[in-house]
Amino acid sequence: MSASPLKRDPALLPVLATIWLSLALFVLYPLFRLFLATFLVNGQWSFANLATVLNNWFDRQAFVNSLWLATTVSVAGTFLGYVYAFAVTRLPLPSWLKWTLGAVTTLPLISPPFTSSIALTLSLGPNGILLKLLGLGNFNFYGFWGTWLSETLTYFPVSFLTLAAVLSAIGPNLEDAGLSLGASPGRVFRTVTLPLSIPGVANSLLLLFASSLADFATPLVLAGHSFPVLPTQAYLQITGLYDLRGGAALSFLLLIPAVAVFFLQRFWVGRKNYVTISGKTGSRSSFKSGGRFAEAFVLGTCFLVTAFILYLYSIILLGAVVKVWGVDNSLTADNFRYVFTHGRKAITDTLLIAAVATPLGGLLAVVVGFVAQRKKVFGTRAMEFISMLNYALPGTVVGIAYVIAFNERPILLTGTMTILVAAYMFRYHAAGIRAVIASLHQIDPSIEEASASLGAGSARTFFRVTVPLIVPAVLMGMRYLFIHSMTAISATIFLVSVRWSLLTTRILECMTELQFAQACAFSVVLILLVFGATALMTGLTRMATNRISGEGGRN
Amino acid sequence: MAVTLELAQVSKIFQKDRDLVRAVDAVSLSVLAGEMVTFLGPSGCGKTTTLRMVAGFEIPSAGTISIAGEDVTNVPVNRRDIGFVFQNYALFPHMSVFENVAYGLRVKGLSEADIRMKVGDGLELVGLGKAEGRFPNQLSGGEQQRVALARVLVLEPRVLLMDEPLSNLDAKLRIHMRTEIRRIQKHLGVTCLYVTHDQGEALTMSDRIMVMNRGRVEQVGTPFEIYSDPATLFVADFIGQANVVPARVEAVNEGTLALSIGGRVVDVRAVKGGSFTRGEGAALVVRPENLTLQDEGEDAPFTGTVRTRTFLGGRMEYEIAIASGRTILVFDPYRPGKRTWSEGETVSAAFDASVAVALPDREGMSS
Repeated sequence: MSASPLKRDPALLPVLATIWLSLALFVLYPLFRLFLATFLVNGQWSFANLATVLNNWFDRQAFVNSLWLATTVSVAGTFLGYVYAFAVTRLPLPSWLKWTLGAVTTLPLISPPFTSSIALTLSLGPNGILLKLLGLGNFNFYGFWGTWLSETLTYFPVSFLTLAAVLSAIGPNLEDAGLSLGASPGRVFRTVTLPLSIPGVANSLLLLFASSLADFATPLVLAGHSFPVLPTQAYLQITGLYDLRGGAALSFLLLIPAVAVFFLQRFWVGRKNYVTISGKTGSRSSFKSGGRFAEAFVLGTCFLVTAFILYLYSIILLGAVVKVWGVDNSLTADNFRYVFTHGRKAITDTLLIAAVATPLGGLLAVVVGFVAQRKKVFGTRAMEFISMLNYALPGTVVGIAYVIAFNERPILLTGTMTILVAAYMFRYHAAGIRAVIASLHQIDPSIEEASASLGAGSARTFFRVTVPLIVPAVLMGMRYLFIHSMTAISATIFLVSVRWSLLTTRILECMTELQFAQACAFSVVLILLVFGATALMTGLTRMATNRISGEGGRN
Repeated sequence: MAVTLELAQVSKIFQKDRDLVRAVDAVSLSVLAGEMVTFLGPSGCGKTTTLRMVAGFEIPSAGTISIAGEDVTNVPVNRRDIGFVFQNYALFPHMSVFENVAYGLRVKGLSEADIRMKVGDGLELVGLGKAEGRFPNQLSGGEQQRVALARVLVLEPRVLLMDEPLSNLDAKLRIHMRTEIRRIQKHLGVTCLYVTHDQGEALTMSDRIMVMNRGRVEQVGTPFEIYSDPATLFVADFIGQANVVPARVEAVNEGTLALSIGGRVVDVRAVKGGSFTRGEGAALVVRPENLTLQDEGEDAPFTGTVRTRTFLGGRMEYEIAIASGRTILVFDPYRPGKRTWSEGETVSAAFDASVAVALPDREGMSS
């Protein structure tokens, strides 16, 4: 080689240096400190911290519970997701009905993490209206069942989105071929559709397993003392007992299954894909029934679940406008008045932090995604991997690692806004990076070469040609970043301070003080803020997409 | 102001999985100022990679590239002062035609008035004066290619590089555009390299053609030389259609050879620079349109039976099985009332000594 890419592109070196420096500071360094806190006792390598945790019956139970909960949630959520995906992609439903099913499943995706927990508490907890309705006087809802139900409802939309994409990508000709060879619809499903969707199912199982394993908010509200899980145990260890080392050891235990799932997903499921997109597919024939009984089962399940989700959201809304739930059901605006007076700072702080983290994280995603996809420099694969790390790890782990790393000099950040913004940026820019990489795959490199051959330098090419073309992807990534900056709790619960108050932590405070009405009011305000911002950014994305594909399509 | 271009022993080695692939192998070429040279070859022969190295998109593994006598091997593409026209046009989809053409001028920092004038002139040159405000996806393929050409030409590059610019156009438009491109290139007198796999394009447009195969140069010459004096069997076979028949050298004379084919001895031209030894094998190359058919005759070099005959309007095509078990192809111009031969008939084919050429039989095909 007579010249490396670095020599030919003078702007690349400072960009690479900046990315690596920030990744080292906000991804690798905290994890390294977490590792040290777990394994270094009085300057000596030791398993003492880990042994303490493993010898504690309660902590061991938390580990087992976490794995058991994650397994059951991933199985139930994937089943529900498959049923929904099958209904939307295979059953001859009117399009408005399909749209409704899809829209309802997006509700849990963009809601704050407590929504279903609060609503379930109000329905099935003490004095719950469903309990009264069904005449179940002393049903104990707290513990495994409550947590399982709430997490399944919260995470099955992820499975639905994954599986709907897989199912609609299976060429309809394959199923038609099965039918034309004399197989019954049930047999075609068993021998063609299901085997082809197995990689999608595996992917969905892993995604849900990881989500449930990392979930902090639901077990905090619903699991109670009888059903300890790792994220809440680690939290209580640190905030209740001020035992940073114990918390570190617990979060290290949590790290092991999370990393295992991450690797399985990246290197095993990611490579298995039967679905091929060929040029000629033909349209899906409309006359195709899955059998009367199966169809009724699928539709019945969808309607029941959809109705239940809508019911839960109306409970939140109702809970926000009554005086005392289940006791004094007269309407009042006091709760919202409370939110806009006592909760005003939380609202403005949350919005400010999200508004700062979103553009910064978007910019980071663009640069990382661009370098990873377009520049063939040593280490770009490692860079992409590391930038996804905070996203793949449970929020509790990231939060504890940040507390340990940034609680003392030389990098003292606890209590500042910087640490919150950094936590959001480096955790939730992952969706943006993926979107940018996917969008760059679609853009022929010759467009950028054309710019270079017309005399433009790499910076000009990047800002004048590349960026305008990937704006839709960036906006999508920024929307994700914004939603999660508004609704995150698991990492940030460790990072909030007196100076910076957040809506999600305020909801949690209300819950622990049994102020359900105020919790509902906060939730409604948060959901409306997120909805408004999401609608705005979706509109912007659509405009940007139209500008590119409407007036100047890609060749 | 046209410039010269020089490639000296340029190689490109790619790492593919574990293997090293020699995509371009020691290519040397001198291009005169204002000359148009075509790189011709099958896909994967290294012609596009060579062009991309001249542009500066790829870095040669070895060798040097000079423009106007100045070594540019390590100069980045945006400082080489070249113009590159892409196979897929590569217009910026988010910019209007005007902004696309103005792009390079804005990089140079020209005044808005100059830009307006030059863009107007450029679009006028390619016949798209009225399309300024439109966007690339509102143009047909041919119009898009003209915009791509105008975008490059307004910069008055020292060297114009084109990578199969017409391959995405339909056949009629392709023929129109190749004369158009040649007209503009001559009008501006710009040095030009042009990559194609279409021999018709290469023959009609070029001052010289460089035929490539498997990363190596097979032959460089004018279209006439390439067609009538193919240096290798690959060139003979790739350009036009050719009958290649094994023969034995009976006598070596000044510029001609006596070859024996199936017992008959004929005189043919020896290829330039080829060395032949009496008694050894050689390959006779004769093009189908240079063979004339007659009823079975004693003195004709080929005699055989007609296997297939195809009527193509302007000519008849015959496949004739000759004695050695090979088939040869003959094109016979057709006019009404002319004698034609049917399948199964015996026929002889003869050729003029000046139109056939003998190549050394390197590939050992006569054995």
